[in-house]
Amino acid sequence: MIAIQLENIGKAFPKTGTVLNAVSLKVEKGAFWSLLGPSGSGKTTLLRILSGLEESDSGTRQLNESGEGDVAFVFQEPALLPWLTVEENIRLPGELLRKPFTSSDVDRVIALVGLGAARGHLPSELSGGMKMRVSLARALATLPQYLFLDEPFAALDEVTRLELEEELSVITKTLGTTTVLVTHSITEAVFLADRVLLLSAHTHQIDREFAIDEPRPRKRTFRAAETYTMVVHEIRERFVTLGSTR
Amino acid sequence: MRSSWPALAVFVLVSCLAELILAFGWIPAYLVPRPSVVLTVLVQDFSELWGAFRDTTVAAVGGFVISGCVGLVSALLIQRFPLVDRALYPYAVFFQTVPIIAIAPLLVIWIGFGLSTVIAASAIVCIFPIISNTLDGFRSANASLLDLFRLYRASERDVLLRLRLPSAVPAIFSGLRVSAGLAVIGAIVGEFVAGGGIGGLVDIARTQQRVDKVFAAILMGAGLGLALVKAVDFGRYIFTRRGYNVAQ
Repeated sequence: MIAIQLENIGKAFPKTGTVLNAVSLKVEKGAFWSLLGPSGSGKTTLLRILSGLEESDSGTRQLNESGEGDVAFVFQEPALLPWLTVEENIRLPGELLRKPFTSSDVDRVIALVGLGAARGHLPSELSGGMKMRVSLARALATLPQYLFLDEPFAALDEVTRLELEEELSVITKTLGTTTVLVTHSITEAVFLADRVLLLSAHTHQIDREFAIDEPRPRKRTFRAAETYTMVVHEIRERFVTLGSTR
Repeated sequence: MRSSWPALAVFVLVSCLAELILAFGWIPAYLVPRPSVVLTVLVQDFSELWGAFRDTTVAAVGGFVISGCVGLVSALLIQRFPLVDRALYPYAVFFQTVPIIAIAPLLVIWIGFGLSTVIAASAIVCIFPIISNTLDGFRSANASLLDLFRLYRASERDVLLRLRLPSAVPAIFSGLRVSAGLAVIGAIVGEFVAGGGIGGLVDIARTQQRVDKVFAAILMGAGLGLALVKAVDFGRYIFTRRGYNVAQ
């Protein structure tokens, strides 16, 4: 079943010119896709159009939303309200949608991302990894059908990043969320996604798609698997070629 | 909150230095009084100075509170309605650019002599920094958080009260801090023309060539300004503890 469908999406900005040129894609329900590409290839713009935060100049977008709170977005920065506690930040979407979460809703999502001890803390009292967990918990609190992530782990240290990647793999599979991730990390894209899309900053289109035939959620051992290494190598080679064609 | 002993040490040092310079007669006493003489005036004329201080405090605090409330509401309206921005903001700039000493005589004609005129002078002087800083604060709301609120279809009211207003707290306190000092200046200038308070006392002492009394009154005015700024700093400190000035 197709969950997201884009047809001939085009987008240009006054300062940078064309960023997306007739991009089409179909994401199946419950799938995890990663968007990779050099700077200026339109990854983030494509993600914002997918989530509805940005309007395209041309083309159509279809998202089978069934209600409010179906779409969640995790930003590159944690984007937490500094004056609210962890629990209050997680409750925010429910309050904005006028559908307050129950205590069990909050407990569930806090347990899901491992935030139990920090629920009463202010964001300033948390580490970068913990803040990103809160951001993820807030996004998952509405049990969204669609989860869009814009380089969420870019600012984290390597160990925290690997840990959160594994947790995200389990969470998205468990909840059956249709997920699209923008990242600069080839290894992250391959570890998490069913399909990796490589965007070109030259043509402003999808250059190539790579399928990763490994069931999700993936375990740490997958990073040592031959399939993983091969796909990472293949994408890297193409990435280098794309970079030199700019 | 930071310790104030270095500032006190500088005050004591400068006073001692001034005492020495004036004792040797390098500067005539009719221009600058010796700090010890000013201290004597502060003690001897305390009841008169205290009465003036109390009047100026009422006027300055009154002007500060009024401009704080009006400034905040104006900034809210300017932020919410672009038409109000175009209609009101030029007047806010006008109040900032026209010197209060030029407006004060008009206030006496319109409102009359007394406390009301002094409060009005104080409020006019300190309203612009509050409006300007609050608006800057509203506009500084984090772009990702604005996206988040849009994603969850937040109402305009929610965006304002849950995001823009709390985001503006550090900027609001910056505006209040500037305005706290200006409130005292506005009140004293208002008193020059409307009478009463420290301004009135300075004006009378000036005509009597009582430089020592002028200095004593100035000291009390400075003390009032400092106390107001410290009160604002304490308010900022309370909010800081709740995360309101943390970079997002």
